[in-house]
Amino acid sequence: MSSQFELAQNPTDPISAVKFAPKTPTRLLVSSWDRHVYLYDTHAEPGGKLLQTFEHRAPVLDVCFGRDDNEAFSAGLDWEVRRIDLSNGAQTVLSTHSAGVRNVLFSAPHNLLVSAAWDSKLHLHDLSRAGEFSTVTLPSKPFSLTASPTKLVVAMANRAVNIYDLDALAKAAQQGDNVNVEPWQRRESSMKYMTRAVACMPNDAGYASSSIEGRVAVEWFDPSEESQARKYAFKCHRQPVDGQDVVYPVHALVFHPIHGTFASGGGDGVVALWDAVAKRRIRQYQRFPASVQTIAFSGDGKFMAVGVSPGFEDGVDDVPDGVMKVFIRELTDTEAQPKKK
Amino acid sequence: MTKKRKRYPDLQQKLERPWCFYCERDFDDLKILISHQKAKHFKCDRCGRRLNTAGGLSVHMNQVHKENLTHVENAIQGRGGLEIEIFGMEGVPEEIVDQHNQQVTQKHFAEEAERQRLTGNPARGAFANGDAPLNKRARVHETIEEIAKRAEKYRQDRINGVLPPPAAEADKATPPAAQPFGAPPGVSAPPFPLDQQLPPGFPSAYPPVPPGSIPGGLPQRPGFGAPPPGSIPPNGAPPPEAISASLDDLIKDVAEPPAEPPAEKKSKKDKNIKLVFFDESVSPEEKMARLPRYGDFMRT
Repeated sequence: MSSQFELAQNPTDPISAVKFAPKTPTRLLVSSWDRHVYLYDTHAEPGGKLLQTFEHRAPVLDVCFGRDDNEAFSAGLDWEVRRIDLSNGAQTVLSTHSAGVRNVLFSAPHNLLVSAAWDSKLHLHDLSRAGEFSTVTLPSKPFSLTASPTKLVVAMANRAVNIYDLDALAKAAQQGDNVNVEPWQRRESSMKYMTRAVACMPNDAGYASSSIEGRVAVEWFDPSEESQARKYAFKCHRQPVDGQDVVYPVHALVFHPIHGTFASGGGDGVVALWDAVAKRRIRQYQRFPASVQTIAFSGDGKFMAVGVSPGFEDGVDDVPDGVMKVFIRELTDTEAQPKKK
Repeated sequence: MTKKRKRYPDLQQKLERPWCFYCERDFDDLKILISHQKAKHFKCDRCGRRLNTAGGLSVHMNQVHKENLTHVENAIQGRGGLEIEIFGMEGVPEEIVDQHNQQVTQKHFAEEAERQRLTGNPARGAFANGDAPLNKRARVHETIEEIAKRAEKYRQDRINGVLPPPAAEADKATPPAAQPFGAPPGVSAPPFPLDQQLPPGFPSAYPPVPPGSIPGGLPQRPGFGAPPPGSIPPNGAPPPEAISASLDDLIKDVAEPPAEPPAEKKSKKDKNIKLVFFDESVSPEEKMARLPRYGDFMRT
């Protein structure tokens, strides 16, 4: 039976990211603007057990697991990319950007850690060569990062999207210093407004992207005309109020690792599950108490974590207490399944 | 075969349509409304079961999933409450019904007025009792001889250099055929030299015509955002009614085509939306990082 609960001990400032461990489906990392990374065991006791917190110098914008369930990487406003040993809490700085670092991403098949910062740089860390990294210059500020087994997709300002071949990036990571990596493809976002999030399909076929104007686009990597003709975009996360459509940004996009469907989370506090192939909404959950900033599925696809916090879009400077929450939802076997034909 | 006339429903038909209390959508019949409510508002998001009422869904959630339903899904603001038991059109509070009817009525008349404006058709039911529409020109009975006489007079006048009466007056006095024969107004020569009729010191009512532009005094094509044709030029007295009217006639053909498409486009694009967050190139996180409360941690 499916059920949903909220974690008992939550961050005190907005939540920037939630991530499940690759092997243990109940091990969850949460990064927050309150300058901490939280590690939970979501099912050790009712409401989850907070195992440990890791303090940073500045708000943490992203976190991800590394080679195993005891290694994590974080990035934040202190410009630094850090490695955290979750077993003993030791932190090491891997590299320093020259602006806030928005995303970190670990690609297991390539043993490669990629960080993207507002200085329009990617840092490539080959984890087998400790202490060294290569820098790739992007055409614009990156906003979101996602990887499939073979591709890395970077969504940037000015509606630019670069798709890199991860093999080429892994090779470039060996060189060190500044490297010039030609993107596998350069694209323009299919939406008119700023790209908010991107997520790759787990089957390596394509990716979904979302914009600040309540819209999600789905497109395919294959550059052939037929595949490109299949791309589409649709409106979502909107609410009619007095004959006017209030349009929320779509903050979070993530694909289900098993079923290949995807979830979107918006400023309206709604999480919806979509079938990218059938172009159908599978379901929409009851509204969360605040804006949904981040969503994650566990590696086995049984759990969904939803990070809820009042976002900047509300225009409030001071964040009221008690609305930052992480919800864990246990999915039934069929809940995220694509539509039957 | 003539084109089938589109039937617009009248107010009574619109008011009779069943509509959904939760989302104000209206439906062709009650069965569809009920299946809409079951699918959109009374569906359990845990197991997909469709219940008949909000209360039913609440009991179901409680007993089957041990969860509490707090509000009805997909409801517009203020309608999501569980206190009111709604089934189809049953149970909708009187004042909400009144409010809905008022909205439908308002929308109906607004739509009708808009349609009249676009098509130029008279209002529904007007002129049904034999009245002639106001803007129709009275029928003129003229014999062939009279027409020939008028044409002869016109030829004479032209030879003598006498001007035909201004278009506005001519419109009232004579049928359109009396307009200068063969010459579409304003193409080869304007029916009357405008400049002579303008009061002294009054700047030309045309936008400035660059040298070498279309001969015959055709005004420049107004660009996007140019003042509308016939508008009062700066520092000038308002032109006499007749002149501005005939001016409008003259430049109508030129001014209208460029003015219309952008207007139509705008109305299509300019959907009534309100963005919760908008910026060209600064993401929400960057804005948040600039807040004073995080400023201390920003590295510079």
